[in-house]
Amino acid sequence: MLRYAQDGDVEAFETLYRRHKDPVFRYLKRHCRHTETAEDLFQEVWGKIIRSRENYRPTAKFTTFLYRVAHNCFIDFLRRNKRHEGGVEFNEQLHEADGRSLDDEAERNLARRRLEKALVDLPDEQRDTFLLYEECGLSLDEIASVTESNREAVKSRLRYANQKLKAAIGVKERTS
Amino acid sequence: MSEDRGQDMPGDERLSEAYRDLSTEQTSAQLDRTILEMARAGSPKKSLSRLLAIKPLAWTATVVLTVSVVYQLQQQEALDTMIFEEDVAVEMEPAAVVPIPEADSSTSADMSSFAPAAGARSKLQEVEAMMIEQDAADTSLQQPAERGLAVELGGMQRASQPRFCDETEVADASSWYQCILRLEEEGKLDEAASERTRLFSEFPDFQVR
Repeated sequence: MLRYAQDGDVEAFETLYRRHKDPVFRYLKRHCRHTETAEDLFQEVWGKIIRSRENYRPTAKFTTFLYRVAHNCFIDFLRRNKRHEGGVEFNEQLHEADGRSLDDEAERNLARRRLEKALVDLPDEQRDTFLLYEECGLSLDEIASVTESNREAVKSRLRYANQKLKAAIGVKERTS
Repeated sequence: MSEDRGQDMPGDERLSEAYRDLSTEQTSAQLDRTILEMARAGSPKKSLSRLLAIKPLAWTATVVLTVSVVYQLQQQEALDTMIFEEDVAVEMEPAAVVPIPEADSSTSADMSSFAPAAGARSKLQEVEAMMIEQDAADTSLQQPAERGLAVELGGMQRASQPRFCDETEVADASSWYQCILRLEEEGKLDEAASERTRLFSEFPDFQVR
């Protein structure tokens, strides 16, 4: 990113983009649930990254910077689209999809659908924490930095999210 | 992945595996092209290739502007100089020591072409040609004037000296000599000596009988 910011090295940017593009896209798609909307948000995220190149300072990991931008774009999207909060519209679409696929798909695919539905049903903060952890590969501290919250809150959200998702796909909690 | 991931959240391998199985979407090629075009369009404009392309243009523009401004200033200065010289010549004309009508008329005719009203003659070549002509005319006119001035000064010097013999007497050497003798008889020896000197300067071959 620094090479792109300082020297206009587009090849360096392309390397960076190809490394992070799919996790960012999936992070946004899991949140907003529509491919076209996710693509719009995706363009918005990378547009902000490109525009911020002149002010970019390598004070933190680029990954943290990137997902902070993505997280903020999603928060703005939530504020613009209040109806998204309930997630009812998408759940109906998901049920229809489930209805078409239940008879034909294998158990694995059924588990995927359940996980997908469980993700949709998660509260936004828990889903956000889970996605940043599993999809984006951030640590608890990095997630706390991205979401501007403390580490313990992040850990708690992640624990709750894990419990619900494991229950949805039939994984039993370990007892310590 | 960071070092605290597995330590903080143990026992989630199956969940992670299930999520990775679900998480297979990728961006479209069209979307990738769009983003990369945005990056190219938004790349910083301070790269070496851009500087190399822009700097020569800037230098060329600066040089062209400078040369044109200097040329304009030189042209204007030459024109102003000629107009000033014309004014000076016109002012000096009545005070000329030796009147030379032919030269004055030609010079005036030539100089009239430099009047501000004839602004069409603003080309530097024409101005230079006229300057050369004027210099030549001034030089040719100045030499006879100097000669005339010398003759005039000689006459003025003679006229300034006191005369003791009248014009009719000095017209002839013998009568001039008779005047000198008369002055000597009258006791005007200095006056007689002065007239004698003048007599022999005017008539060096005169012999006293």
